[in-house]
Amino acid sequence: MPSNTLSKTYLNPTALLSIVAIAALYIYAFFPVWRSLINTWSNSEDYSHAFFILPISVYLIWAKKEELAEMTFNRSVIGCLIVLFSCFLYLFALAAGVTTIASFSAILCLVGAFLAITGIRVSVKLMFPLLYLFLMIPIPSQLYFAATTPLQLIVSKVTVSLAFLMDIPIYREGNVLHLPERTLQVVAACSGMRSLISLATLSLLFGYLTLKSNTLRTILVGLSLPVAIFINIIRVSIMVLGFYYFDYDLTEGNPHTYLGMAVFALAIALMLLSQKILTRIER
Amino acid sequence: MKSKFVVLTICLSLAACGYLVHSETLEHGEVAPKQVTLDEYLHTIPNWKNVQDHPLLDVILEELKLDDYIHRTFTNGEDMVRLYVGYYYSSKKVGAAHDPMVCFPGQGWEVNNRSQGSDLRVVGREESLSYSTMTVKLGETIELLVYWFQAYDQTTDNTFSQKMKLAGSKLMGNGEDNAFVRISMPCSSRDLGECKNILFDFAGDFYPRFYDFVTSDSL
Repeated sequence: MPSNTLSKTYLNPTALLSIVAIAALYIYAFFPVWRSLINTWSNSEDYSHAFFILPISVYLIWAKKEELAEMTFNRSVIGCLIVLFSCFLYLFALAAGVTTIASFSAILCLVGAFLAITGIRVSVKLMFPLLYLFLMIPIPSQLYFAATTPLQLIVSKVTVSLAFLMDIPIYREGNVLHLPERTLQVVAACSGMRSLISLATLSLLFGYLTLKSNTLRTILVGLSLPVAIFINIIRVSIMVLGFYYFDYDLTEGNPHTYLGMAVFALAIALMLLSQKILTRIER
Repeated sequence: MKSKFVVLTICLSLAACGYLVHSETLEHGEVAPKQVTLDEYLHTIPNWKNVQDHPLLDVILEELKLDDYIHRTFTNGEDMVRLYVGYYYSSKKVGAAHDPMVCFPGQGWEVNNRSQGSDLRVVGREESLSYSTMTVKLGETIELLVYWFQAYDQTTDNTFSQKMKLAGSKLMGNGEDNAFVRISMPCSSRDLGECKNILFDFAGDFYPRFYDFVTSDSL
């Protein structure tokens, strides 16, 4: 057994004290960032899934404990430099008032500290769970809306085309759909962006756990975009059908929530199907 | 030895970082609102007369979290131009809420002829203004828009660049005032180039006064 294995390296009083000290100082320094992140996740329907990312990363690391037990643990000066850099970046972000950079620096510091304490070989082995943490960072609103606007238009246009095929009299102005006795607005929440963020996060995990080829993993993640658009077209189309044929409002309240859950379940099913197909291709 | 170096470096970095974060070193303090409102300061614009104010609904004010705004139609005797300025005192509120690509399609307008430019010259200013322009159509109505994002003493044609410029301004110890400025006019039966010239003329008369409002510490 190598001399500096997991148990010998960390299960001694000095090492444990060092880890506790680093953890305490990290919380002291980055507590404002985490408070802001948790506040954002709690108040945003787009990022409520972010609460699960840290536990998932921790689980993915724990799942490799038997492999890690056989590996050699070292210290890394590169990790130290990353921690230093992330601290400077954090201070810069606070001075400049750029929240996204502050969040990025908090996670970069975590990754840097992990690298510094465990060494390059172990960190490379755990690269996915470490990089997965960056998905906790909300997309800046400028980029978010830049992506949402074209998605909204796509959903609006395709929904109108489908409605025509079903002989429903409908007229589109921008993202506003006019039916004979109703008007429906395809808002940002109907663009598919929310679904896309969740599906991309899930598909990254699916790909990591079930596929070996990075190309196929990339394809699986890429498929989350058309799936997100597709299910939102389905959702808005069902709302149009509900209005026109049954005079039933699916745009708010419990029916709206249940419809959202149903189409998201469809999205998950489509992603699982895609993953199964890609797994077969890989064989 | 290496272990001690690594642990010490990390601990000292985090401790120093934490100290600076929790001390007042990086705090800028609350930004004080101006004593004069946009409405008062821009009540008169050279060569243009007020025609009508267009108050925003409370729900919109709440959504945009504006610190100040002006939404008014002006005329030079021949043409009518509508001015909208959504104003914020601090960079914390910079966001994409005002991006016309978010607002207009959502209200049913069709967006066309989008472009960006930096040739909007203003008398008394060395640098030209950076702006975006587009036409919006609803039914038979076509309007030409010229808009920009004000990042303290600079203009930019998109919100991302506005965020970066404001960060730079804040780092240099300059102000955090920022705004979205939109100038528009009906252009259903006129040449777009002619409409653009009229909007540019208005911007040339409006901007020096607006710039003074944004950058003044004594207001």
